[in-house]
Amino acid sequence: MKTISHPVRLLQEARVRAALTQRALARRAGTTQSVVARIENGQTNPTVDTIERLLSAAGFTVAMELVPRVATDPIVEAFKRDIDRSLLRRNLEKTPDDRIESLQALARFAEEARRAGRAVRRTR
Amino acid sequence: MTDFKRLLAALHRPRVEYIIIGGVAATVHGSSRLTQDVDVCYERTDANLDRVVRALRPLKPYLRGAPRGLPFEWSVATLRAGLNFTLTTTAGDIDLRGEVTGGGRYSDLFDHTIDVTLFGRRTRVLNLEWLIATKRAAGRPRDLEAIAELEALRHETGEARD
Repeated sequence: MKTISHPVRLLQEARVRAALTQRALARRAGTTQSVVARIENGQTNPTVDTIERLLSAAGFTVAMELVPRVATDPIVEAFKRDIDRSLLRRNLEKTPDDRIESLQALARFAEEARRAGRAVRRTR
Repeated sequence: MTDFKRLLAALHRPRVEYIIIGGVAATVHGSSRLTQDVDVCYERTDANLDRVVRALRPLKPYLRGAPRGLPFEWSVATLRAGLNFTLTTTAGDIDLRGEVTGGGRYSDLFDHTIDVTLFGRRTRVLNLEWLIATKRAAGRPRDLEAIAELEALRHETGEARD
């Protein structure tokens, strides 16, 4: 799901999707074009009521949800640099069934490698 | 070795209400990492507890790591008395979670799932965003590399937040 986290961008997205100019939206919401422009340009900090009124005029409503804040973790970022993205892209080309089949094949291989390791240790 | 297909088929048969989380969910999202078990969050209604019991009974579930011979009874009463179960079965290991750290219960997770057809059956899988969030909330050092891969996948699939 694509999420737009800032109310200003949310308003702009709603207005564009409703194919409205700033002036047309303002007229519907009973305000002026300059108010809409100032909000979209980040020159003013609108209240939730104002945003809701403008979104409603564009034919939308706003649903809020709590999303855990994602902090940047230096260890995760370090791991990320080593991720083989070509492998991920190849996986993404597969169907979900094929992804599970690949996991099964990997599990089979790991099991066989473990078995071979145990056999070698026994003969030492 | 866990037989992923067999375990999922067992859950599908009596229509258990569950959400795939953990490593198998990561695989569905495109992860290339090996996971050893199937991790699911299950609905705790009486009817669903009964379905879970019927689904896994043929696979002889037992508490993973526990010594053999304990008086463990696979029943609705046992499920009702507990919440999270780490089990081993004849088809491999499965974790049943009534509640997920950082995600809540089945009903809390339900709206954060994707509907995927797996082996011909519609299956609910935790979405990428919440999979990352729950792994972060679990706070296990061994998950850090998995989180890095999931975040890379989020970037590859264009699901990165603005």
